[in-house]
Amino acid sequence: MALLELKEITKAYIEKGKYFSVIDEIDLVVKEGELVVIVGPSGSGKSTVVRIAAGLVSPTKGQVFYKGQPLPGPNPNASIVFQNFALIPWLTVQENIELVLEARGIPPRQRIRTALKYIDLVGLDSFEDAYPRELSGGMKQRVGFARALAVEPEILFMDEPFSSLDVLTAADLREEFLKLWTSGKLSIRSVVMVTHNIEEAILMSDRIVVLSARPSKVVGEIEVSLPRPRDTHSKEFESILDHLYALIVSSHISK
Amino acid sequence: MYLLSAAFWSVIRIFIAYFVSLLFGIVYGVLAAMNPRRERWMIPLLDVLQSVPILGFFPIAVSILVFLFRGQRIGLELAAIFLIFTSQVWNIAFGVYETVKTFPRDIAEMALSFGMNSNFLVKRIYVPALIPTIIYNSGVSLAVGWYFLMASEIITLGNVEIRLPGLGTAMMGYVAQGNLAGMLITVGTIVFINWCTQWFLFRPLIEWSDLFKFGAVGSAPEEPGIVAFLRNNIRWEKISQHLDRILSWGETLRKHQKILSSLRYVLYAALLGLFAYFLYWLLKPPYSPRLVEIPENLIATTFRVIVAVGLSILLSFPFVIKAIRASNTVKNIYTLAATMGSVPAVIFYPLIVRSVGREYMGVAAVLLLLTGSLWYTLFNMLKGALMIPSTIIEMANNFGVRGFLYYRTILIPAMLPSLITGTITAWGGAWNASMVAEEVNFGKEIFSIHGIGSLLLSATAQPKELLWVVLAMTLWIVFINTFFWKRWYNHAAEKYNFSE
Ligand SMILES: Nc1ncnc2c1ncn2[C@@H]1O[C@H](COP(=O)(O)OP(=O)(O)OP(=O)(O)O)[C@@H](O)[C@H]1O
Ligand SMILES: [Mg+2]
Repeated sequence: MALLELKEITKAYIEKGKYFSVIDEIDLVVKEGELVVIVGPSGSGKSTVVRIAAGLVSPTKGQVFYKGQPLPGPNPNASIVFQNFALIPWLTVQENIELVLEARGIPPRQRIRTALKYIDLVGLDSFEDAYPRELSGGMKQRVGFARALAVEPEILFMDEPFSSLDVLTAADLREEFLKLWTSGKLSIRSVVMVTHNIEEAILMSDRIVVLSARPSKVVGEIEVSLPRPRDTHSKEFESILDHLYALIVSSHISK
Repeated sequence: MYLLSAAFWSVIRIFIAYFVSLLFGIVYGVLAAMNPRRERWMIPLLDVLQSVPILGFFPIAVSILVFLFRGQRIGLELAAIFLIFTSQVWNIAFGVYETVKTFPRDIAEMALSFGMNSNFLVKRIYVPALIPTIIYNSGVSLAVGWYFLMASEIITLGNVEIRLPGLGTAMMGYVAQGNLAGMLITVGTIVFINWCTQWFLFRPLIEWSDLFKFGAVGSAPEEPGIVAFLRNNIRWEKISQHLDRILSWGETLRKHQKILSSLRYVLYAALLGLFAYFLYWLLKPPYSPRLVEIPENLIATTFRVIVAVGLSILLSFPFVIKAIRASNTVKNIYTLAATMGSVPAVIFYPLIVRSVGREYMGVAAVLLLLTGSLWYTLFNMLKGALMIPSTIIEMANNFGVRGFLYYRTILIPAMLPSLITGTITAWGGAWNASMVAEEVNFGKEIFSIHGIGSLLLSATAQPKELLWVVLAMTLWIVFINTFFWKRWYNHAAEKYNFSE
């Protein structure tokens, strides 16, 4: 069953008095239980797709459906992990998480309990009272994850969640996230992730959607049904890598 | 003892005006930045109010307040506080507006995606995020407040002169007596008060405000005693609840769209009627023959204002460069500038004019304008220098971009938006100072030079002439703002924006 559906989504901005399409009639279906990864060249509108899918920005044309219903505004069942963390600098780790719970109208006692639970879950216990500025990039993104998970969403959007982190930290965090995701401990039913990293896309996804350069269209999709945990050196992995690579290159040439 | 009570009254006036400015500025700035429809009229209005020489309107405001309170002291106090308020508030409102306007996009998206409504957003995210700007701009505002204090304590109404107890009155008294010791002690008191405010209040606050900056790194600054005190002794919860109630009251009011919009039309009609009557009264002959002098005087003042603003920019640069070279000196420069800026140069002006004599009064006037404008360029440019992302400065150092190339390609473009904001506010400040720079009254003798300020003073006796002068000046300034500053600013903001 489709949890999220984007139908013929077009987004254009006015630049110097002219309309510029960023994305052009994109269709995307996210099924329940699926982890979809979007890849595409820089500036192709991946973040725009995510913003539209989460209901933060309304498309110029087309419509977003959530559970079969048109989405009128920010989706209350979604949360987002941001590339640059988007943490509030004057709030501690725990307060950052409590803030979004408070915005959702959760009473104080329960706020504290939930916040601590998710701080624990992402491995940040004993850092509750630290300010974001005192944390490393990897730890900041852990807070980002804890915050996104704490509101117990049904769908999680991640816009290049690992690209501000160094390679090892990124790998660590990616693995931990996959563990949580496959364990079924989370409320999340589907995930949409944007990345620049082809290997990361294959490591994580059930399905990869490749976008072309601006104005972007979907140039192809690849199902990834390898068992997890995945081995980057396995034959199957490498053949998918080649396939994906070819698809991305062809999308550049066809322009 | 006399000075102590004078200082007490002056401080009270300034701080009351400052707190009202703070409240008003935050509300105004946030309201304007959050809704494009409101923005369309609130920002041009702010521009006008900011750049129009408030001192020119003072006689009108005083007459109204004195009339309302039947000449009681409270009315005069309110007039003085109002004048100081008008000198402080626009700077804060503009800073607030700019900060909300240039709010980091990912934080705004985060707030939206987690379903924060606009009340919540304002209370929990915008207001704290405004703290650095507010604290920073408060330095300018307080300094400017002292400048205007001097002008507000002695109120002339027709041929009666009323003096409110305060340092401004004290100073004028000493100047009239030629009591140099008294003058020096008064100025010393003002400097001391400001130094104390800067040192004990704003320095720790500026340090602490770093906590509220997006993208700051390193250990969190300590909370100053005053913040802890305020937090523990004021029941913010209660205030916040009251605020919510007021806001929800506004919401219910908005639901009655019909009543509201019909009320609005009544209001519009009344305003329009009033305006029409006003125009009729204004345009009704006879015209004063002096009206033809307006253009010539406007140009004379404009010329002096331009010179003063140009000098302000040039004089600010060395400080800014020093601040960038050694970012730890910024706080010192800031404290120094805020203390110096509070020294009300206006009160020395009669002395200076007397000593340079009539021939050079033009030069003295430019100097006075400079003291009314320099702080704006300095503070704004310092702020701009601080906001240059450190990565860009590092990049320039790495690639050995130095000397003239460095200023031309990095520093000036990076600071251009704040340089322009500084220039615009300095321009307003210089105009304001013009109102007192062009005529000095020594009792028997009057020294005066050509200019719109002296024209205005000579017109105070005739309401109609006064209004003509004020209107002409306002229109002229607004004209220059929209056709010159605004364009330049928009151009620069588009071209040199670091935040993506
Ligand atoms: N508010 C806006 N106004 C005008 N243009 C915009 C706006 N937001 C995005 N764009 C343009 O849309 C294009 C796509 O932006 P988007 O951030 O979605 O791309 P992206 O694929 O996420 O890029 P990246 O890989 O760099 O993150 C860019 O060229 C950008 O300039
Ligand atoms: Mg992006």
